[in-house]
Amino acid sequence: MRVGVYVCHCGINIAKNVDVDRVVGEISKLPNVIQCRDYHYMCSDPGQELIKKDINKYELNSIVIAACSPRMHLKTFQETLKSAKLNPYMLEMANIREHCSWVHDDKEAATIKAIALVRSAVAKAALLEPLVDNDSPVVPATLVIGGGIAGIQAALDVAEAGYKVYLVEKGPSIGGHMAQFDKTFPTLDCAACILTPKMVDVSKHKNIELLTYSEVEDISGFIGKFNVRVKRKPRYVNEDRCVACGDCAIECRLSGRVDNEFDEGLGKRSAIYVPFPQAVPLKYTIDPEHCLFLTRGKCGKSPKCVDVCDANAIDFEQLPKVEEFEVGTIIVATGYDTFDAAKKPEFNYENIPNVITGIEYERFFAPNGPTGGELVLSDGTVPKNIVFASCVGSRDKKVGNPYCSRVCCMYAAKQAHLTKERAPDADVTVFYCDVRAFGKGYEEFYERVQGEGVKYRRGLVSEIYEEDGKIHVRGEDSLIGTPVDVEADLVVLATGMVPNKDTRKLSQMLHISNSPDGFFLEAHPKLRPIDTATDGIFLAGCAQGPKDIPDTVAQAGAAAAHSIDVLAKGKITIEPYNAVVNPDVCGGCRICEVLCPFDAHHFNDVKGVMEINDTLCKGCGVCGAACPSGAISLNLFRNKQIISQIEAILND
Amino acid sequence: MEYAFFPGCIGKNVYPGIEKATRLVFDTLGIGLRDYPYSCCPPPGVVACYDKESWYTIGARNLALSEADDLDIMTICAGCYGTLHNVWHDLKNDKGLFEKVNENLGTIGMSYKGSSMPIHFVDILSGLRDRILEKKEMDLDIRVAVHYGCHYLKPSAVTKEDSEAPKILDEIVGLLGCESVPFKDRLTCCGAGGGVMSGEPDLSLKIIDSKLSNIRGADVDAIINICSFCHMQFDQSQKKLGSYSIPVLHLNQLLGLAFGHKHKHLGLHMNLVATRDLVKKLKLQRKVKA
Repeated sequence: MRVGVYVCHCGINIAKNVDVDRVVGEISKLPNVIQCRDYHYMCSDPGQELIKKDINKYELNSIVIAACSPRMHLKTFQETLKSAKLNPYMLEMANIREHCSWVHDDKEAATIKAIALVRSAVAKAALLEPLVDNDSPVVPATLVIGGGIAGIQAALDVAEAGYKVYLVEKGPSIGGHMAQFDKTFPTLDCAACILTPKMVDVSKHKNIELLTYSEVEDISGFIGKFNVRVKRKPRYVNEDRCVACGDCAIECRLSGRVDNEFDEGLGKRSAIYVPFPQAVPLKYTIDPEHCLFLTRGKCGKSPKCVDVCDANAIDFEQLPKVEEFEVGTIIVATGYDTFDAAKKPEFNYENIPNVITGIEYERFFAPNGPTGGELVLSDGTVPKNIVFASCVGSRDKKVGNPYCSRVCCMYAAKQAHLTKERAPDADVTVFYCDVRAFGKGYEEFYERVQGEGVKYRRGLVSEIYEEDGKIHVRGEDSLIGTPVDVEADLVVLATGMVPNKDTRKLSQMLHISNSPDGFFLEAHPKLRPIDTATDGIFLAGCAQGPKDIPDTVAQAGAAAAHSIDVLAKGKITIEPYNAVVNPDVCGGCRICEVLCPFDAHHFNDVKGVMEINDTLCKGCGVCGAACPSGAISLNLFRNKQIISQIEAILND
Repeated sequence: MEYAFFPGCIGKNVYPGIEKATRLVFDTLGIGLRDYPYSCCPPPGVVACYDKESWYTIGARNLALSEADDLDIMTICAGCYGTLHNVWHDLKNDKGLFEKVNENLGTIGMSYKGSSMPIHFVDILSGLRDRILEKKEMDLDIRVAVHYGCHYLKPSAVTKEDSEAPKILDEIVGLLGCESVPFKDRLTCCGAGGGVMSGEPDLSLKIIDSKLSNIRGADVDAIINICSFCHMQFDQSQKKLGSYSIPVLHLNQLLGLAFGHKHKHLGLHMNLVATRDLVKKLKLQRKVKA
């Protein structure tokens, strides 16, 4: 082997604490080392040129770069080798910056360590083997899971770029939580006015296949080719025939008797329903939990919906349907659930009717809500005293949610404004611990609301109770340092966001992790907030963590862009950092199969040996360590390479 | 089943009826109670504030006494429970403290392992519901106000998950036929603990006054507690305030009545607030039913 070694000064980053001349002197003496040089910046153009020239001049076939971390410049130097017509995997980096000069101040000791690190790299370089990248084709389609604003935006962006999109939504309509909102902060745009056109675009787009009332049952495969199985729940209504005239809902024997989830249980619907008038698709669905015919097998003489439907759309014989398809990428946009206020029993949410959550209050304002947008309580009165309690279920270790939900301060401010708009004389108080008005135009909106006479009292609510028919809110005004007890006609709990209850199930299906707060974990909190640890799976919206609408839409666009990036290339290049099985040695014990976190191992029944899928394998090495017969080794980390490195370090 | 029995200072010396009632009730339930030469728990308010290390050491000594017999320690006072549970919890989680305490105990020839757990007697009763129903001789058809006691519930991170909405005491008095009547601020402090009773007697009386007033509003026959210290506060303060006369019973005294023990054996006559009328009412109920 003809090894060339290149030691970088990194300006003074390395040279300050490592005697580079001495390193070069020592390394030059080693067997196999044909050429050893130093340079101020090896990664610069002249530095790379130097290496290239040497490769050709001295016919070098293996290169060691002693410089920074391979995370920084491995790719740079691989390109250098390629341009010199050398296999890019004939390269070994010795990290004498992060692992040496930066962390030591004793120059003598650091120099000795640097020599040992480079010696070790040289030992490995002499045993390197050329490797080739694999290419794998990409199915030009994306699966978007979740039909809220995040999923809608991501689906539209991918579809606009010309790729097929499967948008799967578990409810009967897309729209998500945003469809439930009246106005959006801080601009007070009508949520429906900005959302529903997008919903219609989704339903009309030729590249989007909309699968509502459906759930993803299984996903296997890998970037470029995921196999997806989706279960379509029966609506008991033929979607092709239903014209959404609504006669069935009017005639339904349970008309006005079933709690409407879309109105957070405040309004009523029939057993056959559309969640809201702007639903997409605008097709009726029969609720199997309430429908008399489906639960008891009998609904009067015959079901009224059947009698009244001129289109003959009702079909009680419908069965769940399974659809299977392939996609190249997946965007997870499953959103959030609102915190269950019953978990704070001291607030008596379950016992006092006029203690409600923020999202319930939102439905009071919505023109399509249970009160038609009027601010009236169930007894017909207009509340005079309204109290908001902030941070319910957020920033609260007691309920296990130490994180900030990022929207509650602002939606409480918005709702306080809407309250004042409808009842200008109402006394509106917001208990807060500190107002987080961080977004564009948010602080200005907060100030505007204060100017409208909304009182802000610093201190969280400790207890809500009822006495003599009046609601009392207890807390501490921490600015004047006094416990306070105020009366209220209506208390709004500004409940926070918690992970969608299906998050765990989906994590397992997709092999992606959760952060400690339970939301999906991004690949890097700052630089890769859209990617997951699994290639080809991206995150959008509150599935990744609490966000407001602008951030959600931005992330959805980014997830779409990342997705398009993969689809547009048409193929994926897989680096050969994977485990390989020597079939002559493998005994077929299958110990490695269960250990693999990426499902990359597949047993070949015919040959009786294990095989590893190069695309799925991430090169973690777990299988290699566990293999009792030593049949599995890792490209670039073969046993003989590692042992030679250890020996080189120890052979002082 | 057997437990080491930690009676506590008040349950033993100020209201011995509580200790006696406990022994009778647990004998009826078929659970053995073993005695050890315990000291004061000691309370955090008056000891830990001044010398935390001594507090841990004395607490650990109490916990260590039954380790050789492998018995958990039953307390009948939320204060004792709070102390012993906190000591046990902290020593389990702080290796340095654990070693320091053992070094101190070494000077009296003792050592602490942490193998015996402190348990509040209500948590034991919680697992004996069937046996309580089996041993019950009569239903007590009365209205009661139950008081949990702060140190039984908190700190919630190390004791109870449902500390903001506990149900167990309501359920146990329910087994005996009592109606647990809701009243305002039922989970607040009685005003005795934390050194308030001795350090700020006026404030302490103010707190219990508002508590008693809320209980009176609920129109109950008795106040049921699970803490000797709360018991003392509820009973003595009524005499000090002069305007109340609601009988105060430790849960073990109530269980004793339901199991058919004589009220004098349960020490009801040793309370400051007369329990005569309550006892009469129960006797009458018994007669009517018979």
